[in-house]
Amino acid sequence: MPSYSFIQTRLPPDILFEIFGISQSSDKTDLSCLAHVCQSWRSVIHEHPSFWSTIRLNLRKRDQAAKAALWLDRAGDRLLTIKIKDTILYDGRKRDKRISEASLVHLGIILRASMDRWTSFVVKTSPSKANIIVRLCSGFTPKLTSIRIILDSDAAGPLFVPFSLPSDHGMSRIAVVTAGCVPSFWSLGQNVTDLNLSCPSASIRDMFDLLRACPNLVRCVLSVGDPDPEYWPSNVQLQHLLELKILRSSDVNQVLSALQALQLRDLSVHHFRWDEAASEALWSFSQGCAHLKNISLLDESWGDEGIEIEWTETSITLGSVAHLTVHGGLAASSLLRTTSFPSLENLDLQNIPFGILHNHASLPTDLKEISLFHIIDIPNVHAPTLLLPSVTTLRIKGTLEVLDFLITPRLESLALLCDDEFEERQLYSSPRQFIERQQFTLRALSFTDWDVSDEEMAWYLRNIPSLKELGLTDCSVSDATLGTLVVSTPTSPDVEQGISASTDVACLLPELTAITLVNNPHITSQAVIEFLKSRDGTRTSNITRSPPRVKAEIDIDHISNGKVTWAEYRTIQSYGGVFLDMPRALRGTRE
Amino acid sequence: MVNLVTSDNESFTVEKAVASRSVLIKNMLEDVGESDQPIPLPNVTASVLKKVLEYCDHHKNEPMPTSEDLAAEDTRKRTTDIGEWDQKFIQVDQEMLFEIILAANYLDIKPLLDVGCKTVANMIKGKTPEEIRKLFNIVNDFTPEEEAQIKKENEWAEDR
Repeated sequence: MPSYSFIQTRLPPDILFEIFGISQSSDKTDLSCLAHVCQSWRSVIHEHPSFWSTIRLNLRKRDQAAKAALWLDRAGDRLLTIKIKDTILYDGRKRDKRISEASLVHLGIILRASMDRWTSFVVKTSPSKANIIVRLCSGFTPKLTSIRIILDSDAAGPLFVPFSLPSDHGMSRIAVVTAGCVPSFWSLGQNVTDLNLSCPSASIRDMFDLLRACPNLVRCVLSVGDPDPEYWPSNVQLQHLLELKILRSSDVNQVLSALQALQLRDLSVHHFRWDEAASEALWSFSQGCAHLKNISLLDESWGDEGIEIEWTETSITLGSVAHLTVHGGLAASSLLRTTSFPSLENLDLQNIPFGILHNHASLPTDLKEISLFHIIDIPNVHAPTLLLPSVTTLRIKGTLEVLDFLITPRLESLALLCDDEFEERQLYSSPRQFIERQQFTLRALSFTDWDVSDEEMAWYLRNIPSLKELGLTDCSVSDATLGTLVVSTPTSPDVEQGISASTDVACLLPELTAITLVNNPHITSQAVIEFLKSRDGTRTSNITRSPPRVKAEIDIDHISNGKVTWAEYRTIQSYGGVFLDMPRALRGTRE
Repeated sequence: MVNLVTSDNESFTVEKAVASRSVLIKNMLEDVGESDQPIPLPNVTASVLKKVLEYCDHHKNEPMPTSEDLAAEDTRKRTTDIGEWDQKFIQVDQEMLFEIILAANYLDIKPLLDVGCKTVANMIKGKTPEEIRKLFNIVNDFTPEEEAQIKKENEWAEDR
């Protein structure tokens, strides 16, 4: 007699059910594999239709039609997720063996019989295979909420998706994601509320046909690149559209000029060619959106300043916009000069002339966050002229001279960054002067990519005692900087240092609670340990109160030239250090 | 304090907050009210209860999962992530692991049952049926007819 194991004989089916459910849900384990282990496992898996309701088919594998038939049978009347893939997409080593059209047709016919129970349909394959399968699946899909069609190359024309809804069907919501094709729908389009369309070579005509078929869109991402200069689409009204993102479009003008979205809240146009036509399209489209709250415009100039467009339009006010991001160089200036945003709370500008920054930052009274990257045309006479009474967060990248002009009485967080494209350089005196001449209580300060000395850093640490958060990323400071922050234990009840016995341990930055240390090549793991050890919040005694425990976020790859031991790694963790990534030196090694 | 008596007649006196991590015990305490009577646990041995109480003690201050939490757990995608302390706690031999799972099921301690089931799910992740049998010493008890059917099902996983 074989000796049966505990798991085979004593674990009740409901616990096996629980385990298999976790396996299937978390790592997409094919339960048919677990059903081949033993009788008890097989019967638990076979007796629960829920395990069979996600049908994963691989067109590279044998007899998937038979697999689909068995899965459908075992799933009973459960709602279904259909996932069809073709591993050729993910395994370049294998050459695509031709699957016969008859096999695809057979599979399509089997799946078609279950369409009334589909909740999700996913197909990832070539345009021709997708076309055969999808074309066959003609019928009602009343439970469908998600369609994903991902093709390995762009289809020549639109892909007709013959899924439809009964005439008495209510307003269910369907999300559609496609790559490599523009789908075309019958009645289903009415229920599509989310659309993510990516097909660089698709015709803009097909895209507009799709948008017309989906009048109830709420969120829409369009990445369609092929403009048609001969085609000027008639207006498309998307009355429910709240979010519109246009990516990598070579002709924003053609897309925006025909769209009307009166309820739009979020407009993003990224990686586009910012020319006069684009400015005009953005200008007139925005005017039609009275509820716009967020605008994000990132052109494809990647830091080039470009040339300001000779363009004049009537000034407009977009009073509802609270968040504005414009990375556009001089080409964006024409639009910004004719538009005002009196309700801004968050402003992010890159490659924009200082004069425009001045205009847009000085008007809104609720402006709280500003990010400025490479501001250009900064005047030669540096004098504080720009009062920002509500700003609490300021990020400056590159041109620190801007600080000379700013007055920020409520500033709490200051981030100073250098750009990789520019040579690392010594900190200007601007940040020090900026801090010295103001009365704010700074809580967070971070440096990124700056060649700052320990002496220079010591000035900041001594003169901003209110800091709670400190960030150092790719900086040249050494262990000495961390050393100045180590809390030393007083030898006697602080009488020698003139500090009352009932008050705190003496140290710089007594309120520090968080520090970020990322890729600072001259800071060693030993110094991190010493610092964290002294700040672990356990030094409280009858006579002294220690500073709070400091939470540290660390990327140690370049610390000590990447040298860190497992013991140091664990010690840093034990003192509250959180590693953003496993140190390279420890990867593949055993503790 | 609550007095618990195991199947091998060992007695454990624990805080009410610790014992009440078990929904079974919590309900029993509510039913009988204030009482010094020991609560018998005929399905749990002393060695297993000790381990279970260690878990309950560590988690005694955490909020109990509500029925809404449990319903949400059923519908959302579940992961096999286990907290750091729980991972160390559950590093036991296979027999103890399954005993803990059975005890958590009997005592109705859903979070502990979850930790146990996730641990087993992690153990079988990515393994073939043969490797799983070897890992858990499971006997292949299929009939020849079932083996034939399994062979056919395996073809669906083979390349064309």
